[in-house]
Amino acid sequence: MDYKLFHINLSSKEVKKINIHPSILKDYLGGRGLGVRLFFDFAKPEIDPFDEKSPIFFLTGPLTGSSGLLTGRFHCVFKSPLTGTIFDSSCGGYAGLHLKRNGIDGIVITGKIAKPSLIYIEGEKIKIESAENLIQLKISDRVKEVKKIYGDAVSYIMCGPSAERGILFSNLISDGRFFGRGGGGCLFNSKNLVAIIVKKVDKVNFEPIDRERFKYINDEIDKWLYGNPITSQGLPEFGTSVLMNLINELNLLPHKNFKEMHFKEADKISGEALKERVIKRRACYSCKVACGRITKSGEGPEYETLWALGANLGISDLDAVIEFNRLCAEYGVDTISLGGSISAYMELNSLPFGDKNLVFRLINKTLEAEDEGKDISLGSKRLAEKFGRKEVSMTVKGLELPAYHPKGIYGMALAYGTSNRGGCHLRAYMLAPEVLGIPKLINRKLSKGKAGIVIYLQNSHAVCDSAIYCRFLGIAVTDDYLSRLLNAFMGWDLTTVDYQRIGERIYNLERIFNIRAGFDKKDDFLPQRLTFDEYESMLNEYYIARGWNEKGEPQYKKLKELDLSWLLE
Amino acid sequence: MWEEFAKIGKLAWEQGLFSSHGGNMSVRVGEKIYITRRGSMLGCISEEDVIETVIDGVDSNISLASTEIVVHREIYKRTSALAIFHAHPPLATALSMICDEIILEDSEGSYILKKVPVVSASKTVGSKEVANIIPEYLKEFKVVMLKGHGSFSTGMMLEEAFSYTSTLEHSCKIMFYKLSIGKKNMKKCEW
Repeated sequence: MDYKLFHINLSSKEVKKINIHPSILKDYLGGRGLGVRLFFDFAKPEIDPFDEKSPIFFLTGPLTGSSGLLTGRFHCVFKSPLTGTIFDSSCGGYAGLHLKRNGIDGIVITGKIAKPSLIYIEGEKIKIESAENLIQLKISDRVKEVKKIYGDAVSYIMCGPSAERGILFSNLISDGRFFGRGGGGCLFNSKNLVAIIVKKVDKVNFEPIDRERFKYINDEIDKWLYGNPITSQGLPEFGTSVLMNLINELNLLPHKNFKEMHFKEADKISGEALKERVIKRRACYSCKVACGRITKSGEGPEYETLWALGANLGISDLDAVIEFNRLCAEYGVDTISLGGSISAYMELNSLPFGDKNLVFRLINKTLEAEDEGKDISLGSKRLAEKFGRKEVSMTVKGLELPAYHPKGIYGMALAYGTSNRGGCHLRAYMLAPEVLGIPKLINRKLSKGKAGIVIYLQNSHAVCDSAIYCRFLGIAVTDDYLSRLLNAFMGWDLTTVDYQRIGERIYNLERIFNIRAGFDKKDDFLPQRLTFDEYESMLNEYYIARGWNEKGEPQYKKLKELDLSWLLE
Repeated sequence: MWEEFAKIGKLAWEQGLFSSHGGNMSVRVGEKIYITRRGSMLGCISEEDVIETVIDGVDSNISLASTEIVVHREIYKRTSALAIFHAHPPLATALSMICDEIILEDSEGSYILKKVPVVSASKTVGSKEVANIIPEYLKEFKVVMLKGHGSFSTGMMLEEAFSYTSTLEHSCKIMFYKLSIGKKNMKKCEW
């Protein structure tokens, strides 16, 4: 088993192949897990994200490029300039697939180059070239320019003009799909890097070690995807916006900067409403679900965007939200963080919710980072601190919270609090057991016993992000299918418990990273507005179940058990 | 929490998954286990039928806990289970006496479980030998049958663990009907 990782040092313009010991791959798999492990080899967690030595990784997983269903994604790992935590982000664009087909499993970029540049990859040849012509252009114009020079047969990862304006929640984009959240775009800008261009390669077969078994399990997964109404009907029909009406009816839809839990006009921006504007669906590589929506304004909006720039701000004009989404895609900003920061700004200044012209103005000002937009571009946490009113920021560890009101869904509340990348619904997708009934429905407002489920999902999702397969696969099949699939591909003989252990190892390593970066127990709490009586006891139960001390710190025994004692050397 | 035990216990009893005082179930909460009382009737559980004890070590409540506590503890220590359901499903138990593994052929069984391993032990109740064998299989399978005794299934929550045993017994019932009827007894009709 070989993992071809290339280190690109922009300061020295050197490209070096790095050998990774097979045991590291078996312990961390790839993607997110491998990224956090390797970060420790390149820099200390205390590093300033904008320090030129701070690395940014693009990593595939063992399953990337295989014929396994829903395995087309790849991951970006870095220290976030927005949150200061370890950060990883998943993307459904095609650059990961083509990296792998070019014979490269991953790249890590450090250093800073004097002039705006891009990295061009073809085969194992990696070149650094000028990108001065791309500066300040919107994403669609950047793509046109790139294709003019490199042809249509390329895949790309790039930041948008928002990164050059210092907007802390600037994303990276790959082939129209985002590496959502955390400000990866800003890191590109800090290195004077504008894009990575990967030459497309026609089909390359990545053969499983146990071909027959891999096919059998993949076919079984296909049966489940087809048989599950969420993956065979809900997501294909409505995309992720299928959730809008459902979440609103359960009174879990945050409205007016989380002051309310229901938006009476949510149906106007629901999946059902959006369906009329959709001109086609889009799927990632090897995906049959095709949750992507394309309207005449481009890709999206996703459920989280419809909420962040719609319901949260009181906007029910669907065409307006589609336009807001288009602007974010053109400038390369994260829609959840933008919506969360604007709602905080509106509350801080007693501005009325529901005024689409006002929201349009605030979005434009933020994207240009001028006037009041300069404050909003700092993100909700820094914005509220600047106004001396921290309580208005609906964030955990500096990351704007997503579209599920934690006061009505206690497991998700704990998942937000204990997420290693800040307030996020994807570290432990508690929506599955607490709303969708996967594997079985549990009482949303029950506190006792939830910690164990949150931990199970956090570990399981860490494996998902490292293997790599789409989170939606877990909606259709249980973990044992995925363990068997990975075993057949790699020729391994690991049990689902072994994979849980890998997930636990990754989660603990991320926790140690954050502790060393300055985070502690107080950062695991929710904003005052969103907390509830049982929260602290849930958190304590979580620490105990994780085997951490009362301050939420993994101890030597736990680190040794997880083969992490090297951290103490 | 006991209400969840009562709900699952009643449903399992109605499905005939154990006799009046058979079976047991538990959930894990951190380093604690909540397990049914020894000799309780799972079909009508009340608050005092759910006992709190520790996963590791001994406490006074051990004297009240189910006989199978030793197996439950070992499963929690060695797997990622958060809930365990143990029953004596009649048809699956009968099949366990004649098969080394139970292959489920009907749609529900084959989708959800595929196959269920059957393991043997010389002492089959509350034994360390069983506690040693069962968790290894539960790392890979949702349910395991202890030959001539009954099933152990796990999940993230009690209802999930229960559902796997329910599916197993239902599939065994279908297999039993299929074998009982036999193809030769089916008549053709040219209607």
